Amino acid sequence: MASVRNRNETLIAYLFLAPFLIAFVVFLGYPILYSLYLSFHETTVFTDWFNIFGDMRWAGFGNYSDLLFNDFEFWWSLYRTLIYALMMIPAQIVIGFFLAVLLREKLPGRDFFRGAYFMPHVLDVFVVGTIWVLIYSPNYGLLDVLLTRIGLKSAGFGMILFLAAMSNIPESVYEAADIDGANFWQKHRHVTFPLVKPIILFLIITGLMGALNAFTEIYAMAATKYAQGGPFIDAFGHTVGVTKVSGFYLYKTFEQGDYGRAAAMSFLLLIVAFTISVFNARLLRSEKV
Amino acid sequence: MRNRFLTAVLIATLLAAGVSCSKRPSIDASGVRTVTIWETYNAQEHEVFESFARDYERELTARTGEKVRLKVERVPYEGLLPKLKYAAITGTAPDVCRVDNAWVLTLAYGKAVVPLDTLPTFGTTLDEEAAKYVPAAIATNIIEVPDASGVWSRHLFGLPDQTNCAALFWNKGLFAASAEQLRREGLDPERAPATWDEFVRYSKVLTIPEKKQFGFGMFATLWWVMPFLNSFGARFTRTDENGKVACGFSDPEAIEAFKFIVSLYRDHRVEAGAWQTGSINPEQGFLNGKYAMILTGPWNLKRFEGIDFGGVARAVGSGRYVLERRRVEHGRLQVVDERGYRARFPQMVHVARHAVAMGA
Amino acid sequence: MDSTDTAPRRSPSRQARVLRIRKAVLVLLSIWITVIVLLPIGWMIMIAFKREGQALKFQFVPVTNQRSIAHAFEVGDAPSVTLEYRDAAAQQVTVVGELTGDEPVPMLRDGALFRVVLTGVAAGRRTYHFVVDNTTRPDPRATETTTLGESVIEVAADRNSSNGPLDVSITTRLLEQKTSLSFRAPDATNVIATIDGDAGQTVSLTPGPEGTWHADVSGLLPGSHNVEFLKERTFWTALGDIYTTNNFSEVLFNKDFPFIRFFFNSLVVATSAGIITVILCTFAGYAFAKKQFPGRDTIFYVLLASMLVPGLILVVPQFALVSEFGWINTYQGMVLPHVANIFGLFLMRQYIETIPDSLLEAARIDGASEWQVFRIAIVPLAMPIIITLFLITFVSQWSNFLWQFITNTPDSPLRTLPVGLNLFKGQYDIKWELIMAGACFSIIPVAIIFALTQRYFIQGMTSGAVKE
Repeated sequence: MASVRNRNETLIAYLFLAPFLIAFVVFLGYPILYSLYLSFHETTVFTDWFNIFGDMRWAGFGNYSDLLFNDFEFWWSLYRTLIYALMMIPAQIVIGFFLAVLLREKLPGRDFFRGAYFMPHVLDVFVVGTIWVLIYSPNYGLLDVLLTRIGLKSAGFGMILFLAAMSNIPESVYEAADIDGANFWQKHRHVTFPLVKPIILFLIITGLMGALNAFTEIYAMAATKYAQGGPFIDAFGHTVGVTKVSGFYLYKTFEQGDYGRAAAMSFLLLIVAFTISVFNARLLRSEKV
Repeated sequence: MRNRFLTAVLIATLLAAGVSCSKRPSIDASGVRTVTIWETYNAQEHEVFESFARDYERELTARTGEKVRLKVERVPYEGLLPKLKYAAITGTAPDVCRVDNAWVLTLAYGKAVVPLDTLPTFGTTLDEEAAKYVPAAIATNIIEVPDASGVWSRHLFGLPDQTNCAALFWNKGLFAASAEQLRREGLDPERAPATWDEFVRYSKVLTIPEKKQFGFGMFATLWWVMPFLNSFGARFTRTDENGKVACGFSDPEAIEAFKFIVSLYRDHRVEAGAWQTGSINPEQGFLNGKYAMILTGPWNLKRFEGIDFGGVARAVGSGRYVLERRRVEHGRLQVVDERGYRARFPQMVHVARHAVAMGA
Repeated sequence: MDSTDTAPRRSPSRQARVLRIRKAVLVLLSIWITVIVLLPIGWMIMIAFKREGQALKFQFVPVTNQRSIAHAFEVGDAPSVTLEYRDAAAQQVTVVGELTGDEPVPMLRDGALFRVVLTGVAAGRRTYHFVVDNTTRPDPRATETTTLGESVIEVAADRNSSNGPLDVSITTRLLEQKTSLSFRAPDATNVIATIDGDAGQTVSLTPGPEGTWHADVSGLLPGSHNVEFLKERTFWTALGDIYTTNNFSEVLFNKDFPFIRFFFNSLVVATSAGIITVILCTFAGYAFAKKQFPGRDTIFYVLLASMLVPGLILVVPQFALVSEFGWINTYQGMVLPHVANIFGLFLMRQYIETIPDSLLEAARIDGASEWQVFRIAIVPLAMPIIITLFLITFVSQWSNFLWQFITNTPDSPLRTLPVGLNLFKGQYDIKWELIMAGACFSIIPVAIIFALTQRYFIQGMTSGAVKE
């Protein structure tokens, strides 16, 4: 009896799952596996555009070993990504936290302000990117756009998450702190901060993922003629662009028609991201205990 | 090295015969052959282009009785190259596409375009054909490519439909406003500087920090460095002692040119820093009377309507950069040269027509 | 909201005042941040109203009073010929022909008006043409043109001659000792002429027919003089120099591109993508959250891991797939490749897990089928996250340029708004005012949906994403 019910339950579960899984396998699973296959092949500038998949050569782990051992720029791009994340994420957290504290106050028009601050996160229409290009005149741009545009966007996102977490803190806790004579900082340091800690961790992980994988923003910028990945500096005997974050380097490799190498790079980035996620999940779990 | 001379080029793309052919029918039931052309012109140019297309259709039918329909489709310039790439993968590429000449190399290496001189209808030799064009404009379309057995040979992959070049634009109004100071320095406020030394002297007078006005503003990308390199006599590439092509940027001439550019910003302080992020870009600075001189091209003539500027006319007439120290002959300046266009049009389509015939 | 009124209850004195000031400061701060955050949007709207060619100019406030250049004239000399040519784009205009003895004579520029006064021309029929920036043009005001394209003017022996009515005309009648000034300015509210600079006299002109203003000046001594016209306009008239409302209609009813169709296509693509994604993710999220089945965790982690693959690399195989299916130029080609949204699935699972199992059990005990349980217990309770996911998907597909660009051929009737707006960007020539006007239309649906669903959105985002 129990096993029949189990079998039934399993069947029903798979029925609910089927549409999603089918769409996944066809439009994501297959392309991912195909990219994996591509990553073991070599495509060059001479590869026939009309027959890209037929005209490439088996390269084994060549793309991977080349990236890992011979490509200074790949490591450099990872390093720049890390720097970028180190700039971005604290800014996002601090600004988001500040906005949340501000809008926790019972101010007139509070709902309007909440909506307004969150707007850039929602209005990620391609035109908004265009506007930034115009206003900001990013001649080398990538970094500035990443910082301002995504910065604004993610600060709004952080604000919403903080606000939600804070809404779980009963007003009486703050009142008690007030009675104890705690000032503004003490109050937030001892009451608010411990409660929003998981959110900070969540923002760190999504921020890192975003930094590794910021495809949309990078595409919007890289497609313009201005973005070169500069300004350029000398580092360890190589001339490298300061704003060449990994996503940008990936885009450039892809754009040059080096699909195999770009695919290999994607999977290396995947491994990095995966490691971070697992590490972070551990951290979160230990936090909860 | 990316040697972008900013000529726009018409390229005939081949629907690689035997591998994949266009999924759109190229000849319909009534025997009308369709040639698809992608272009990125602006609205006015598009109208001119359409009129050429219609003329050609009529002309061809009158002359040979053959029926052809030229389907002119407008494509956004942004993302055109990836789009061409994807279209090639699925065999939906156009027969003719107008691209920046910097892309011709990529397209030729990727076998996305047909070598025009190998077509039976070409009817002339490569060098004879090339002699009809401005040398710099046609040179970027003649590319050495390897064949299946690895033998390299030169072929023609595109035809230039427009050429243009950068010139120094100078704002007459700002020159006139500083006329007295310019005269005091022994400079004529009614003409543009003719040498780089004069250029620096003019720029110094025209740089007025209180008004946030600068003598000069420029982008710092390779393309905008070229006028300097050219006039300093630098070469972009040269053949080294081993017979290999090498970048010429470490030659003394090029170094001199680069040093001069840097000095404009750092030593003379006449360049506005327009290449920096958050600054006013050269075109916008010129438009708003913030930069007295900029390097730009004929595509901005319309945008600068209503400003009293000069320098362009002279560049058109002489076919040289306004600023020259060592005279370098370099391409003509044309906005839309209707006559040249009209003359080249039949040839271009003729070639394309053949490409379709092979694909189908 | 009205807590300001309750504050005095505690202590009506200093403390309340401090609180009130604090609140005011915080509100001002919030407004200031709002301005910064919404600056690009306000800026976009302003550009959308700018005239062609004005988009990149820093001029925002129009000039109401326009001063002309000083036009020189002679009192008491021989008859002359006055020629005018109006062209905003011209840089340099000269007049050449019989009239000038084949010597090119440059014309004086006053804004868009080029003007020259020729003296010492013998009476009779004379031909001439203009050279506008190295291009030969006939005089558009001439009534007669020769077969060679030369314009013709009849030069009188005893008075000033011109072809057609002049924009700026200064004529002297010696007998009456009067100089008549006329100035064409249909949009002016007042025109004042200053003769011989600040030391000379100033006259107000009176309006006449066809927007031409007149005045007669007497008492000028024979010899050289000059006159400057000051044109005064209302602020609203002058506004028209910089701003226009035409961009919006020019985008919507564009003669080259069917923008209404583009808009409709975008709406179809974004809405259907939103609906399908929500359905798939809710089903799957429910299964992962509330069902036990073999391989549940493995499948879930595989899905999560695949989210980490950079999307860029998938474009080529996805496109090859879509074209293999023959889905180029179709709605399904634009929509279906993106409906398996793993982030959406993650949100759904997190949210649905918070729905208590007892509720589902209760429904089952009441005899509800699996489908009914899902419909009655899950869907209504998961509404905030469903709406959130719809909004996220809608927005991302609404602005998905690259994919919609490559899956449509340039002649496709299914091209979408982002693709259409990019058509205003040429290689060199970008029509900013039209792009921004189009952008104004493109944010309307997003703004409306966001305004309607804001409350759910915040609720959904918070409990879905960070339930850790």
